[in-house]
Amino acid sequence: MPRDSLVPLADEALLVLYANGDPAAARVLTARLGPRVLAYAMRVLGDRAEAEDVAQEALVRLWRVAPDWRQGEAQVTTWLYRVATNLATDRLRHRLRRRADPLDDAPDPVDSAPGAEAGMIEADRMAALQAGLAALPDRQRQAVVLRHIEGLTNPEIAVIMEIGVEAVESLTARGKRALSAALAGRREDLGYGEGD
Amino acid sequence: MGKATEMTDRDPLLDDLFRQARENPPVADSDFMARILADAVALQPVPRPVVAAPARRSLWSRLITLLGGAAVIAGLGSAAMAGLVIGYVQPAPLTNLADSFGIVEAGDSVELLPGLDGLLTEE
Repeated sequence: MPRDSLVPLADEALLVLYANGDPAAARVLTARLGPRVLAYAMRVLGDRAEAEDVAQEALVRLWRVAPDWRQGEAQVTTWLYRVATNLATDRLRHRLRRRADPLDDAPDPVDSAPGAEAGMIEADRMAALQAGLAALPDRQRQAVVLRHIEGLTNPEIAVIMEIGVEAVESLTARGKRALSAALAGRREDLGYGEGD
Repeated sequence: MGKATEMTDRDPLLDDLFRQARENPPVADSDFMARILADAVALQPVPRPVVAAPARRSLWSRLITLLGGAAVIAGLGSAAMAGLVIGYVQPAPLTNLADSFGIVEAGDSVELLPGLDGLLTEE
């Protein structure tokens, strides 16, 4: 099937085509889901190499489960976010265990899409946001990223994080308060005037 | 804790940073995209060849099978034809043989339809 004709299809339909051996479905799904899961992993992990590993592994698991995918049970993106969240949590725990190692390098800053001139301030702002996110407890960070950057609903996040909706609300609220506090002193530094 | 909490927790600076983060996601480089596409292709199931469903068998076909196959049908047909020919021709050796067994013909012919001969003789 031509690739362009697959673009309007939902992820679930594309996954069925993928499982039926349609090579165009593999390309469209990869282009659609790869950057998305990578962006999420980078926000949560703050490290490109680790995020790429997590995103790649999450997608490999999706390809493997495709022939047995039960339609209507879960959204592909929700399933993928959940796998990526679990993989990222494993990485974060592993990182905690290694923290005693003084040679352990700090995560690379997350680099966003390059801008031109305004890119400097924007890069500063994104770096500040990433630093604030990195300072949050892991679960708060995951919830805040899923809610406020990935744009998911609280029930979706509850499924992804395997917790109740109220727990999600609590995590995102506490995460936002902590971020606000961390960034409050940097308002002018980040190009926000008093009136902004 | 719900929408009310979110409303009280609104922070324009943070909301703006979130908006910028949504609009400028980290870029996936070409090496990463090539790797995940290679995985997708390598793990994609091979399409199974389409096999035609067995054709529906006709009534004659099933009847032939039921009676024992084409050879048996041919034998039955031959025997039926032979019986018709013998009955029609009545060859002398066979009638002699029937006579020797005491099988006597009931009559030469039987009129199943009344003729018009009776009507004609009255006139």
